[in-house]
Amino acid sequence: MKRDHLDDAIDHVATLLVRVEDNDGLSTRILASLPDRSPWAPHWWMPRLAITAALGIGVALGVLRTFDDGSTGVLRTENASAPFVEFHAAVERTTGEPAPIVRRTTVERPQNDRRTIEDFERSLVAIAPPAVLSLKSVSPSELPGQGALAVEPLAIADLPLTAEAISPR
Amino acid sequence: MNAADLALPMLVIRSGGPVNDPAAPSEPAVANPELVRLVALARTGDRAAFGQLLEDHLNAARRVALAAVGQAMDADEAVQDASLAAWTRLHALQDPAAFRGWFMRIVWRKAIDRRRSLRSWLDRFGVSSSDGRPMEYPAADPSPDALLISRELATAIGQVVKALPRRLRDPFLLAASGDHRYEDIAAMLGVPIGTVKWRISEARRLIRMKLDRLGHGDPR
Repeated sequence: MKRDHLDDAIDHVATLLVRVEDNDGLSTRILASLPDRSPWAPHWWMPRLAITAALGIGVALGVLRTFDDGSTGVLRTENASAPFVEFHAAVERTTGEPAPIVRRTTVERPQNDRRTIEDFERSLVAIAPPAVLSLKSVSPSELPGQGALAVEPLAIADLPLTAEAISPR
Repeated sequence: MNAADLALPMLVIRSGGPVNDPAAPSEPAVANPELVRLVALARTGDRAAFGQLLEDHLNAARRVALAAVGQAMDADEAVQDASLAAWTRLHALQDPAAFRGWFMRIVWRKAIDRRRSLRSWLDRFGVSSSDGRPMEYPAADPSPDALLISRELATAIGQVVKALPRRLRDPFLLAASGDHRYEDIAAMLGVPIGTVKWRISEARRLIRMKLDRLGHGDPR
């Protein structure tokens, strides 16, 4: 584009608009206002200390990972399929029969219970096995033609104790 | 000082081509070993080295700030803020050879912050101005190889430049300082180089159009 007198005038005035006079004291004033940047100034070494600490922690974690034998369940590359197996097992457990809920209650003896283990052992006499167990045989011909079928009560003659004879203790 | 207060009745400008061509930077872009050495020393807390860096770039930085705020005093305060920021963040500078562009970007941001705060202050107190206070006209420096322009034309150009939209005026004045290449200006403004070139061209077109309306058109 051909330049003319007006272009030159515009350039010159624009240059004047951003022209600055020398200010000898400005750089001195700026330097005097700068904070200390010595290696001992806190704002100087604290960021470096933080960065160094972070790097140290990262290196330590990396070194500790190399001693991992896998017993803690850390996922390794060769066991990459393990989570999928776990996932499928979890899905099957969820979609199948619900597992029975087993409630376990721990019973503790109260503090004021003065019974001892020996008391329990001596409170009952050992039950001897029955010597004779007599059962009356019934043939089909002896069954009643009508009415309900009744079975005579079982009698064990030599059983020394019954449930009512056991002490409440 | 306003455009109407220009001391000289006539301004004398050099003839023959643009006064400041951003495509021809005054400083080469290659790495300067002395600059790299000074930056390395300043990083260790050497105030003298940083002072030397400051001296080398001070006037360019003041021109950058002046392009944004328009007043020498505000520009100097912006440069002071930028110098403090550069001193404390010098460790973040990746390439010591890029100190100049890095420092100028800090100066520009500080100057823009100051311009925004000045404008908000003026708006709060009801001072009517198109863009804060009027731009300052430093004393002219007549050159011997002369092309004379009238004071009236200089005043008109100053007013038209001041009335430009900021997005056009900023790259235009940064280019007029003669300190920066297009890519430096683009980095400062955060826009592509093509946008910088277009805005400078558009600024010049608008200036010429308005001058023509004011009766200062130059028949080609």
